[in-house]
Amino acid sequence: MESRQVILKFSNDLDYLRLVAGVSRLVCQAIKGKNIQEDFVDAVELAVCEACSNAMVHAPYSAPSAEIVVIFQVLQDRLMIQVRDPGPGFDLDHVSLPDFEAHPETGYGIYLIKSMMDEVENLKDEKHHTLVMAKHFLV
Amino acid sequence: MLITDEKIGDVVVLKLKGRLDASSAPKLKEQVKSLIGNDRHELVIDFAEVDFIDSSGLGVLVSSHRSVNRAGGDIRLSALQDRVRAVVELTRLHYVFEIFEDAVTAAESF
Repeated sequence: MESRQVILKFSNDLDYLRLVAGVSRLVCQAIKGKNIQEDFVDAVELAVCEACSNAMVHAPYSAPSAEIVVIFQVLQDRLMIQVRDPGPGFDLDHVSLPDFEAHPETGYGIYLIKSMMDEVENLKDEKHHTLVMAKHFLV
Repeated sequence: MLITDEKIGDVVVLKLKGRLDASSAPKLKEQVKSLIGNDRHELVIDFAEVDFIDSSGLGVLVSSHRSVNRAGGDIRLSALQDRVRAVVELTRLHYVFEIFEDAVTAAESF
């Protein structure tokens, strides 16, 4: 089955997070025949917004003109989302769980993304970092 | 995000409306900082009209809580929608904050 995709491009401005949230929900709600429930939609919205704000806030090379690209792909068995930014990225394997005893002020973002999605990995090339996430359909 | 405040006795209730995310969290942080500067240390943050919170929002809640604690006060939360409550519990922050069903009950708990 051919995949369908939605591509969103925007500059490094946190005001775009509302747009990202809205598009994330619309993409999920447009998926037919996969028994998409509200918790699926909520999880995707949170994961995509976290990934985008992470790219905008933490990527050291994210100048205001930096472009963030989000690609939603509806596949047969899952929704796959790529969030690409021009920063150097990070090593997912070296992001530890938040210290739930100390209750830190930061460091919840990747934990939330991993909690919301079924697959999370990152890809790097010379110019970009891409966080690739997928959430499986129930049927 | 809109923030309005009202007083119930000596307690200040901050009523949030909208999304508490990386874009809006600094506004809440500034508001709490301003209240501490005005010797208001007993605060309720009311989430009745908040339908989304992310890691930045959680971070501002934790940092604000610490700041208010240092000043000898406390922040209590009220009226968390299911979705927001789920994120708070996932990150174990329900062990940090006292959470109440509504703002009045939260204010009266001080």
